[in-house]
Amino acid sequence: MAVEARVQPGLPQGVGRLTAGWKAFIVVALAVLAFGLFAYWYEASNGMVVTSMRNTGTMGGATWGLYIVMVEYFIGVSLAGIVIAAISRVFRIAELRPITRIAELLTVASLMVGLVAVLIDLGHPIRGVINMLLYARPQSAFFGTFTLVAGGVLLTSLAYLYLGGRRDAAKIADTPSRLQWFHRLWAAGYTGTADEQERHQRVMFWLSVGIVPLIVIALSTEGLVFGVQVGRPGWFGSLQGPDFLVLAAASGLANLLVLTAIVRRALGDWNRIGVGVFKWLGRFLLAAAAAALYFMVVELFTLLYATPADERQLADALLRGSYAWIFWLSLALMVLGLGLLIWQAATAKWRVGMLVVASVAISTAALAERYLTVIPSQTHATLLPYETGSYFPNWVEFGVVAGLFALGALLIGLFMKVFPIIPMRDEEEVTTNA
Amino acid sequence: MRRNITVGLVVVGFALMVLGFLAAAPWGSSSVADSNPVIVGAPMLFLLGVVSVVAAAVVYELLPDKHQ
Repeated sequence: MAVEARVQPGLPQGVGRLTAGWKAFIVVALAVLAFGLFAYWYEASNGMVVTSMRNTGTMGGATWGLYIVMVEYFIGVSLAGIVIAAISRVFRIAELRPITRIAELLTVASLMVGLVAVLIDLGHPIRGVINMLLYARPQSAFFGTFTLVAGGVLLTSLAYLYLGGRRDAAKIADTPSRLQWFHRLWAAGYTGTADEQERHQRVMFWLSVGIVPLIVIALSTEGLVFGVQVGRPGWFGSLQGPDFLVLAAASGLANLLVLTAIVRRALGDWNRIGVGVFKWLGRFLLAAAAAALYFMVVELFTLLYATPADERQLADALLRGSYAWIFWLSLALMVLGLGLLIWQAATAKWRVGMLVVASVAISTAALAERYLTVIPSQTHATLLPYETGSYFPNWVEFGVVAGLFALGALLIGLFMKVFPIIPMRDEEEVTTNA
Repeated sequence: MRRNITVGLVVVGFALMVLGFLAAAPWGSSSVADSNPVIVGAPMLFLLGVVSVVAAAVVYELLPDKHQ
């Protein structure tokens, strides 16, 4: 069947065109980022005592606070993006192809922000990085976390994003614009010969095959950071690895769905990202959220059933103590999100607006669940005879975290203006009369 | 040429990862007071190994054909 070439003037998908809405978005994001930088500067100048974090036990606080919660959340979010992109390539799911670059970008941005959150949690970030490179020990789950997540997954995702975009870079490299040098650099001499295409397919296939087990190991290790700590009730257990993975899938898919809806609206191109894409994401999210809810119930049942006193104390704090509002809110949001997805699946009527509501509910529930994983075991579950403690983040921590979200949004927003965020169709061409 | 460089980068990468992993463990001592790696900086070798393997994919795709 002959394919009619679709020719469009100038750079596609609004690349290089700074609209009023985009400028407003950048100004707001920069303002929030500036506030986050100020909060971090305040913390770095005065010491971590200006945060709500305190020593566990002796000072009745939590040494791992909101920053570590966000590390777990952001790195979890990174899972779904690259896995969706890999699945789309390996199994040749054409409906998902338009969102592969959005998914890869979400992975890269969330990994970068997650790793920044790790550094922010350190009193001396530079010393932490140097000592990790010099003295890290493979027996520690942290070794796997940093080497596999920071080294393996981030680098592979960047390679994936770069190589996957070469063909589009070559397509737009001849279009005169201020970004032409960048597009030529990205294309790196790609001309689209049969050999190049075959080589590209081979590389992307093996990267896809390699990255899925890599990210599963990396994220399971992230869960093991908690799961192997025998002296901390609520953390120790074999479920932490798979639980981390499942919740990561749910939160990642939810964020990917919301980002896809935002990109669709921003580009105003309803055909390029059709409802079919959202159906796929909705079904994946339904499965992941159901599994996440299952894990929540199983863990709660285990915690309540004839457990030692320390575990019972933790369960009380979650169910009717100081963390109860977060726990019940998390459960309610997860049930709400899941309910909306089940209803749409049952009626076979997928609505983007409702999917976004379900995604926001599930993502918020996942964030709350991360909070409940990290914090209560430090304040309410020590095996030594300390009084129960308390922790709630203050403005410094909230400010820094808001800055992290702004940084992630900026990374994605800026990318959209320098490169097509949706892979161009095979028949798509651009003219040079920008 | 392309294949040789790619295979070389992958082999060197995995070798560095194994070496880095093993050399980062404090072999021969059970004391917590002596917990430094056998080779200081061994974790960096592991990371270099990861970089090498990922670079192999990029090199394989980017190296120009002979006739170009």
